[in-house]
This record gives sequence, structure tokens and C-alpha cells, in this order.
Amino acid sequence: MNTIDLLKSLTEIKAVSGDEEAAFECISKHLEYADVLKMQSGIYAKIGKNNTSVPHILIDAHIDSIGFRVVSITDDGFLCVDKCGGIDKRLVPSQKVIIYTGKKEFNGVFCSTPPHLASDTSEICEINQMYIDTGLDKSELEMYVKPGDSVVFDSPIRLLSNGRVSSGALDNRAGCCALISALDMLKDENVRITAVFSNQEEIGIRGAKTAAFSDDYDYVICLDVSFAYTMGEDKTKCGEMGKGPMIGISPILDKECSKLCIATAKEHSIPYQLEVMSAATSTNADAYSITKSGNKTTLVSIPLKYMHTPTEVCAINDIENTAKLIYEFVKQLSKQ
Amino acid sequence: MIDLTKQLCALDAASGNEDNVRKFILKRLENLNVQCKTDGLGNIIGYKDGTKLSKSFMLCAHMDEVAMMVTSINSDGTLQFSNIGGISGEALIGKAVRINGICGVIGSKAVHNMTADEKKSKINSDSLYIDIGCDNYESADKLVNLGDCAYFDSDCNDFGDSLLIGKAIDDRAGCAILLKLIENSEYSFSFAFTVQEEVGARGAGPAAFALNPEIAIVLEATTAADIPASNGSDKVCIVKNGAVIGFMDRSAVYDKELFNMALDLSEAQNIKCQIKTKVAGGNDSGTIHKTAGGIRCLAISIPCRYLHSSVCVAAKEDIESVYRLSDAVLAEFADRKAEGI
Repeated sequence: MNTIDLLKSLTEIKAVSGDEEAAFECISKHLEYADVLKMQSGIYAKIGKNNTSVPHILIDAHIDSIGFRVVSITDDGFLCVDKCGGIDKRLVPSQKVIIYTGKKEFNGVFCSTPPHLASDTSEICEINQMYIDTGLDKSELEMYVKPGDSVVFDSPIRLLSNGRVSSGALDNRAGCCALISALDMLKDENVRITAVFSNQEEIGIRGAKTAAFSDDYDYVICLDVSFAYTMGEDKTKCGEMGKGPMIGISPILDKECSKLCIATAKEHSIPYQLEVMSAATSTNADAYSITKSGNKTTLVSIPLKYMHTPTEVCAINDIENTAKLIYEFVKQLSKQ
Repeated sequence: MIDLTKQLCALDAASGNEDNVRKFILKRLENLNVQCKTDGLGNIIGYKDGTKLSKSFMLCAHMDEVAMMVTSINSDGTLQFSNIGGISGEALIGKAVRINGICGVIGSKAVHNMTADEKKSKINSDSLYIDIGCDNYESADKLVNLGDCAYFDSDCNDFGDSLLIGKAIDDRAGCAILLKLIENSEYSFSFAFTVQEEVGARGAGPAAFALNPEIAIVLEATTAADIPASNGSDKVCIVKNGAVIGFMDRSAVYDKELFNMALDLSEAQNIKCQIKTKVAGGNDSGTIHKTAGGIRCLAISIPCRYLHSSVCVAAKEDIESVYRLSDAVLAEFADRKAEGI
């Protein structure tokens, strides 16, 4: 499967933090050759699980995305929601959404005030004071929708120019895509891998905290997205889109592993860039590195623009180069 | 009429760039054998022959929609734009757009990196830009010219219980109603599909001047704020409560006799109709009522939520009500003639 088709399939998964059930079917379909099972902390896919002669490597990519949860239904049939994960409230009005209930899916749109009626001084209200219009009345909604049901941005993948793609779920389906592509290349190698598509990253790195207890691991690699420079961002704190995976350098990451990862990229002429962080990384790596008696953890990130908006953008070649780097790096680590 | 509305909404036609809609409508009129022409500004004006009325009428709807215009190409390949018509920053941010058949997005700084003040501040649309994927000026310059228009990448679809959702319902629904009236009404009237409404109702004046009617009926989509955040009269009008008629908005005070007549007719003929409860917005009437020696105006509108966004919401039944009420007003003048009034 080519990268765009795989990414399309993954971005269609509806998996708001804490409600990732729907991801299992799609992930197992792409990993038919692996042992795939569903755990509380995420979806696990094992390759070479009896191959005890090589190091056991955990590769993590969180499967959840930001979104919303239904809190109540108003008398005139609007849904009150609250957010799941960090969302810029200013971009929420007039966004299309999908409410998924397990039984049925509904289209909706966040209410907004048109310019004819808005005053310059009117404040932007908090997300928990915003409403979703489904065009249905209360009695109809109540047949299917109940408090706790999840809501995602309706932002199907779009191809831009120059090998770029946009969707609201690229954080972190881009990472999941690179992980699945890497596993596909690794499946016949002499490796022992547990891939974890972990839950609840966006609400405080919760899935990863328990995932590290699932077994003993020699190495952990985390795959996520990170900031690509765009206007308005701080250039010194961002990667560049299209310039390859960002290898993390941080006090919480294993220094030797980071060095090996860089050396691997150089050896195989895979473009890369460094992401230097002087403290924690705000990714699952922060949890894996200090869980149980500590894990040697490496962080590789795909540059992404407009994070946590329905119009996130990343470069297909960055995802493909990330998959290549993970493939070569895992082979290196497996020789250690 | 609903299918026609969907087809019209799918077309891209910003103010001053109405070609796509104009071509579509001219083709329909050609098939109907209706006499019409395109004037210097791009308005389609013509005459529908039928049962004569006691007054000369013009019915009109505007072809243009709000959109964005590329004003410069940045060195990083992104595009600066200005709004064509009124669009709030909130309606733009985080939206996909299309421009010359390619996709683009309007992103924004990641929420993680925003200061507390930035999170609270209103979005200034001058600070937004379109990302089409290009990395530098040269590659973007090959795909886009200054002055090209960008449109919400959104078509018109069924929504909820018998509603429509999409861009440009303002005023393609009006265009669809007018086309159907030309096709099916038995009465005589002149008509105009106007240009440049969203940038100050500029096209309607010359069209009305050329047609010189005694009465104009403007078929529009007007803002419905029947959402939980507004109460009472702030709702302006309500989706599924029927055709909206106003006594006054920011652009015109409507002809009282026509206003009352529309109300009476709606009641007599059981056509759902509501009075706009707020003096807000405006439409082509603003220009038409001051054209030539003055033209009596009535606006009959479809209540439409989230106007001037990618996700306008309107009810199919309200589109039908506007059609029926417009035809009923025409019929009233035929009856008067018969009675010798």
C-alpha cells in the first residue's frame, strides 16, 4: 500500500483520547502478519515475540487524536460539548464535525455568529459554552446520542501541492503511518518488536505510562509529530518541513541511542534534522523513559504544521524517510 | 429546485468573478428559450413572458459569493489574501480552500505555542495566509496569480432533518428559486441575476436601471441566528419557520404595502412566513430602491444559519416557501388587473 493510501485509511479512524475502540479494526487490517491484540493502554502488535536472541524493542505511536465529548443535549436539539486535548477555541466555530456513537455517525457543525451580527468587542466563548448543530431535534438525537459520545473534526485528507497532505488527524496518524510502513519492512528481519499504538496521549500521556509495564524492553522508540516552522512560530524551536525526521536530543532521552540514530541516518543517507529540547519532550517518551526501572528511549518526530487544527499539514517524504530511518535504526539496535 | 441549489452552490463565483454561475444560468435560460442578455457589468437581465400584471416587476438574485483574493505571494510559498465580502476570522481559520483547482489550507500557530493573550485575542484575518504546500515563491508563483480567488472547499450536501449545508447558499438558493420561477410561473416579469452584491450591492443598480420596473422583489438568504447563544429578537429569524420578510434592514426601509401584502398572502394561502426581528444586514434592495426615480422593493429571504462561512445551513422547506410566496405576490397583481384595480 502506498503512503498516501495508508495515511488516508489511518486518518479516517475516529479515536478521540479515551475512546479509541474504533482503531483496532483498521490497525489489525494493516498488520495481518503480526500478533495484534487490544489492551487498555493501546493496540499491541508483536513481531518475532519468541525471538529472545535479540533485544526487545518497543516502538510507540499514539493512536488517539484531539476532539470533543458530548456533555448534554439542549431542549432545541443542540449538543453541548467539552474538549478532549488542547484546542484553540478561536478556530472551533463553523467547523464541521462527526459525532460517533458506536451505533451511528452524525454530521454536525459548531455554531458561529455571522459577521453581520458580531460586534468587535464580543468575547470568544470557551469551548464548553459552544454548541453543535446537527439539524436534528432533541427526540431524534436522544435515540442515538448520549453524554460521553465522542466528536472529531470532519477533515478528510486533502492533497496539496509539492507532496504535502492535510487532515485534522495527522497528529499522530502520520506517526502511526511511519510505524506501520517500518514494520512492513522489518517483518522478515531478525528482530523482536512490540509496536504500541497507545491511547490517551493528548490528555496527558496516560496510555504510555502503563504500556511500559506490559513487558521488559531493552529499547523504546517513540514516533510522534513535532512543530514545523510556519509564520508566527519561533524558528529556533521548529523543524523544517520536507527536511526529514527530527531526531530528539533531550536530557530525558538516551544519549547513546540518539547518537546511534543520527549515525544510522548518515550511513544510509536519510535526511534528518535535530530537535533539541532542554527538558521533557511533551511526548510519550517522557513516560517510557522513567517507567519501571527506566527505558533507553529515543524520540523521532515528523515535522507538522498547524498542530491541533483541522488543517494540519505534513510532507509525504518526511513520513517515508521516518519509516526508512526507523527500519534501519531498529536493525542497528537489534545488533546491540 | 433543491438539486438546482446544490448544483449552483458547488460552483465557485466570487464577486466580480461570476463566470461559472453566469454560464450555468445562461445555459438554463437558453434551454428555456427565454430572452435575456448579459450587461456590461456581467448581470444577466431578461424578460419572462406570461400573463400580464398591473405593475411591472423585476425579480432578482445575486450570483456572487464571499471568497478570498490572493494579494501577494510570500517568500515561503504561502499566499496572503484579502476577503471579498464580509468573512470573520473565525470562519477562515482551520479551513480548507480551493484555488485554481488545487487545494490549500488556512492554518494557524499551534495552540501549544500561543501565549495566554494570543489564545484570547480575536483573529485578525490579515494575519492569516493560505498554504498550498509550496516551499518558496517560485513554485507558488507557477500555480497562482495575484488576484486569483480562493473558495471554501465545501460543496452543498443534505444535513440533519431536511436541511442543506455548504458554502454559497447565500445566494445560490435565491438563484435557484428565480430560475424555477422563470421556468414555471405563469406571470410576466423581468429578471436580473446580479453581480457584486457581497461587495456593496454594486451590480443591482445598473440592472434595475436598465429594466426600470415599478416593483422589485429581491430573493435572498438572510442571517438566522436561531442558536442557543442568542435569545428573543437576537435570533433574527428561524430556520424552518418559512420565508423571511423584513420591514427594514441596514440598507433599506421596505415598501409598506408590499410588506403587508406578503404577510396577508402568506396567511391566506398558508405559506410559512416570518418577520425579521432585527434591523441587520442588507441586500440588493439597498441599491435598487434608490435607482432611477426610485423603485418599490420587497425582499423575500431564506433563513440561513452561519451565513458567509463554509457551512451555511438552510431548510429545503424554506426555499419552497420563498418560491411560493414570490409567486403569490405576482399573482396578486394579476388578480388586481382582472378586478380593474
